[in-house]
Order: sequence, then structure tokens, then C-alpha cells
Amino acid sequence: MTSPASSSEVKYLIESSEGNTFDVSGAALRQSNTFNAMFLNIGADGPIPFTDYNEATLKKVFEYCEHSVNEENYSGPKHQDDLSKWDLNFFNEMDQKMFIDVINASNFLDIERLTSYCCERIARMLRGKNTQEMIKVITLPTAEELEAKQKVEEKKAAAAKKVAEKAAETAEKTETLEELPVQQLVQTTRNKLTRKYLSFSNE
Amino acid sequence: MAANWSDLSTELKQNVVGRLDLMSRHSLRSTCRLNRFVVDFTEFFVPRVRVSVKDSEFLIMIHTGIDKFLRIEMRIGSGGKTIIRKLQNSYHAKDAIEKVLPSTPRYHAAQILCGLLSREKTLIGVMEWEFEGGIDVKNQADEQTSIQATIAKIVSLVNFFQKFSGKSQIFRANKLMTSWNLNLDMEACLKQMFVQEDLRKIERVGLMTSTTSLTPAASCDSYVPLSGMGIPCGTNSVLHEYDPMHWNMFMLVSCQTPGFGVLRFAQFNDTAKELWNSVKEPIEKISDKKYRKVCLVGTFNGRILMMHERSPCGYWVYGILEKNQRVFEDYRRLNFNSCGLGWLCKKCTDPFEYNYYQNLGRRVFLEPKWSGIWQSGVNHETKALSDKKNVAWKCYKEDEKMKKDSGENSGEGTMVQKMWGFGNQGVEDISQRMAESVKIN
Repeated sequence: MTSPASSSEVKYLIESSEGNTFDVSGAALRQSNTFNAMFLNIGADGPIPFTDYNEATLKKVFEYCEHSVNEENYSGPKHQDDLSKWDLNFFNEMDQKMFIDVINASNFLDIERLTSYCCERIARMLRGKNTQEMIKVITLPTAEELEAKQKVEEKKAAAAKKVAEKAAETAEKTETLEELPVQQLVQTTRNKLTRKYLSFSNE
Repeated sequence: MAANWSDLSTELKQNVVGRLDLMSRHSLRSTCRLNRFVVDFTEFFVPRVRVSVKDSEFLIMIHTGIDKFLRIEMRIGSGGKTIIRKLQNSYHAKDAIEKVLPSTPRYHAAQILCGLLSREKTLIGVMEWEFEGGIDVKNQADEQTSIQATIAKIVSLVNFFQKFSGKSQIFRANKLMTSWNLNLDMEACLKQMFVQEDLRKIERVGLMTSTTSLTPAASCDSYVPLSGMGIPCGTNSVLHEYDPMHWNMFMLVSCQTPGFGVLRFAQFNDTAKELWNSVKEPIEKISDKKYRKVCLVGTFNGRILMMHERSPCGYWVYGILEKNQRVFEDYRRLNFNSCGLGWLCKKCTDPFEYNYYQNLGRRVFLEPKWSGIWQSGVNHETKALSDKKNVAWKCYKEDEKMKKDSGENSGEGTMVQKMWGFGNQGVEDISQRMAESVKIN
């Protein structure tokens, strides 16, 4: 689509999982080490497919890259208090699902600064918590919940078994009902044939 | 974040775990099997761990950074139960959490140390072991008995730890540090607990405090690059005040060691200048900023090569017996560019290491019960000793006041996050709980 010229004016087309395309500046895209390794030197003909991530996620990631283009060189994650207002807004306005999508996309694109900030944010949520609190944060089921879940499953299984047994009984009855006329038919036919044979032999 | 931790790749999880402190990692490790693997396979470095053993009491200090530590004290309470006191970044009882645990302090110490630090990917910078007894005796006649008792204690403890953890080599540490009252046999026993590939040095440290200063002024060391233990060994006497008698001590160390002795000065002060000027030999320039004077001195054990060296960092003297000169040359070839001042040099040493040694003297009054490193002998309370303590205490107060005035320690704008298990709950009244637990039994 574009030449690999290093001018910041160069725009690249990005393709999302929905098949939509949007453009991102070269300067922002160069923060991605994945992009640098794959396309920087050879250039890209047509949209660059990042089809594992949806448009909203990719736009969010590149919004961060566009913003941090003019910032000084990255020197490790900053303390939460050192984050700029823009950075804080950027993280706060994301819901949890979007946050996880952004961190995964950022990790795939190898954008060191964003990945580092996101990981630091998760680490902050986990720091100083005991196991139970941590389970709540990462929403793993507790032992009680697992037990309750198991009980519910057992009940469900028992109910399903009962239903299955009933169904089997009903099926058996239907089978006998269906079988009777056939047997009767066979018997009747046999009787008729016997009678016929006897009548022939008498003749 | 809810419900989505599992959506993160292992690489990202490890990135997050890499930012967690020791207790948070342990907490995350206990959530599920997958997280346990993630934590166990993430590298973790603990700069320093100190274990002090006294009778049946234990002190575990896990240093995670400058002025950042977890302090766990354990002692036997009534009914044979353990009273455990936990503190984070503080020595004051008011910040402590106390609990009663069912088993003995030894068992709980093993549980804590093995549970937290005995991992394939957890590396300890320095592991310090302090025992009472050893060669620290009032009467010389009791020395052998004391040594044997201490060895027996160490052997039993090491066996217990090995059985508890199910491993013979329990900890990964780069350096084993012991207190001055232990000897080579005891160190050999302790060495068995360490993964041999990671252990690079064994050092025995003693501390000599002063009535005038709280910061180390000099250090008198011996270093044996190739010891019988198979790794470099050494002794280290931290001097808070340089006295001419320390020169004799340095000569004695240099004469007796199979390696060589070093006397280092923190500053090129008047005493150091005097010593440098007393050598009437020509000055050699050995590198851009290093100068040297060499002289030979006769002793009872043969001639000693005294190598006085100066650099912008400071001043130090090597004392090498002529027969050990080759050992020194081999050592020098490998360490020519390193600063001769070691941990005394603020510029060249790791900041944590520098800070740790600078504050070693404070241990005497911050933890009077656990200052076995003090070479004057903590067991022998004398007037001189209590005078030193008083002076040290006064210096400490002045230091703290100065820090407060300069706003260094005001704590404004910073909030210390309490680690799991070390929350700020104050001292509990455990007497009732102890009584209850005794009744139940």
C-alpha cells in the first residue's frame, strides 16, 4: 500500500478481524516491534492484516501509539502517580474486556511501553492481596463455589437420569405395543397356513 | 479484569508476576495449579535473606530492596506453641502482627523458608545464617564444648530442613554469609543446603562498632580464592572506627590466611594519608587512576608483600604472604578492573549492598537480641558495650532527626503497600488466645 519511507507522514492501512481497514501513521506503527520486523524494510502491498484483533481494539492500541509518538524515549514503567492525565484517562475509559484485548494486541504487536503499563496495572490489582482476594480478582471459583457447582451438577445429572429412565420405560412399553400386532399377525398367518395345508392334505 | 486473567497468554502472566512482590507471588501461586506453574517458572531475585537462630527462637529477615524487608520472629510460648511476630519495613512492636501457631518455631521456620524461597527460579543474593555459641565464649576452656554444641545444632537443623523440603539442596543463593563466631566445619554443614552451581562465595562477617560513628570507616578482610570448600571463602571485619591496633589485626590476618588480606578505608582521610605517606617506596601508576606503592615486611610466618593502592574511590592495602603471591596474581588477573574498595565504595557497589553494609551498625540497637554479628560478643554484656549502644542510639536519633528535617523520611506522597500477611493491624493481645489454645489441648 505504501512505501517503507521513514517519513512520519506515511500512512499504513490496517485490516481488522471484521475485514475493515483504517489507516495508521508510520511513526505510530513503528512503535510495534512486530511491524518493524515484518514490514518496515520490505514495505506492505495492501492493508496489513492484524486479523486476530477487532477494529475497536486495534484503534485503541494505535491511539496510544499515536499519542506517545512525541514522548521521550521509554525508560521502564512509571509509577501510577507519574502517569499523565491522558494516560490515566486512556486506561480508565476502557472496560475490562477491552483492557484484556488491548494488552493481548499490544503483546502481539510487541509495543513495549503499552504492554508494560498494562501489566503494571494488573500487577497493581494483585499486589498485597491474599489468596481469597486474588481469586476474586482473577475470578477463579472458590472451593465452596466449586462444591455448590458440583452439587448442582449432581442434581442435574440425577434429574437427567430420572428423565432418561422414564423415557426408557416409555420406549419399552411402546416397543411391546408395537410388537404385539406383528406377533399376532404372524400367528394368524401361521394358523391360516396350517389350516390351508390341512385342507389340502384332506383333499 | 474479572474473568479475564485466563485470557492472558503465559508470557503476559509471567510479565505481571515479574512485577509482584514475594508474598503476592505466593498468594497467586496458591490460587490454582496453572498459576502455580506460572509463578514457579518466573525468575525471582531476593537480594538478601537473614536467618538467626537462638535457642529455640528464630528470626527470618527477607530483604527485597533498600529499606524494604519482611521480618518474622518466632519464639516458644506457653504450651509449646509458637508465637510468631511479623513486621514489614519496621522494627517497632507497634507495627507488628502476632499470631499463635501450633507447632515448634523450627517447624514454622522451615515451612516459611522452604515454602517461600526453595524454588527452582528463585535466586537469593546473599543468605545470612547466624547462630549463637560457636567460638563466642567467655572462657577459652569452654570453646571446644561450645563449638561441638553449635555444630550439633547446625547439623540437626540442616537435616530437619532437608527432610522437610524433601531436597538435599534447598536454596539457590550466590553467597553464604555467616557470623564471626562460626568456623569452617559449621559453614561446610550449612553449605550442604545450597545448590552448589549457584553458590559463589562463603563469607564470615564480624562487626566492630564505635563510640563515635555509625557508618563503617574501614574493613579488614581475608580472601581465599581456592579454599578447601571448593569455592572462594573469606572473612570480613567491618570497622566503624579505625584504630592503629587494627593494623596489627590486618597483619595477623594476612599472615595466617592461605589467600591474602585486605584493609580498605572508606575515605582517604588523615589516618589513611598517614599510612600511605609512611611507605617510603616509589609510586607506580598501574592504570589511569590507580596508583600503587609496594613494600616487603618481615613477620613470624615469612615475608609479606604490602601493596598500598589508591584510586579516586578510596584507599586499600593488600597483604600477601610471599608464598601466596601466585594466588593473589591469579585473583588479580580476573579482577583487575574491579574497585578495590568493594562494598565500601558508593560509586561501584550495588546500591542495595552498599546501603546494607552502611546500616549494619544500626542492627546492634535496632535488634539488640539478634546482633550476633557484633564481634565484641553479645553474650558478654559489659559497660563498654552498653556505652557503645548508648552512643549508637544517640547517633541514630540524630540521623533520624536530620532526615526528618530534610523531609527525606516524611512519607509525604508515598504510601507503603502492605504485603499479604503483613497488614498493619497492631499488636494483638494474644495472651487470651494462648490461654484458650492451652485449654483446648
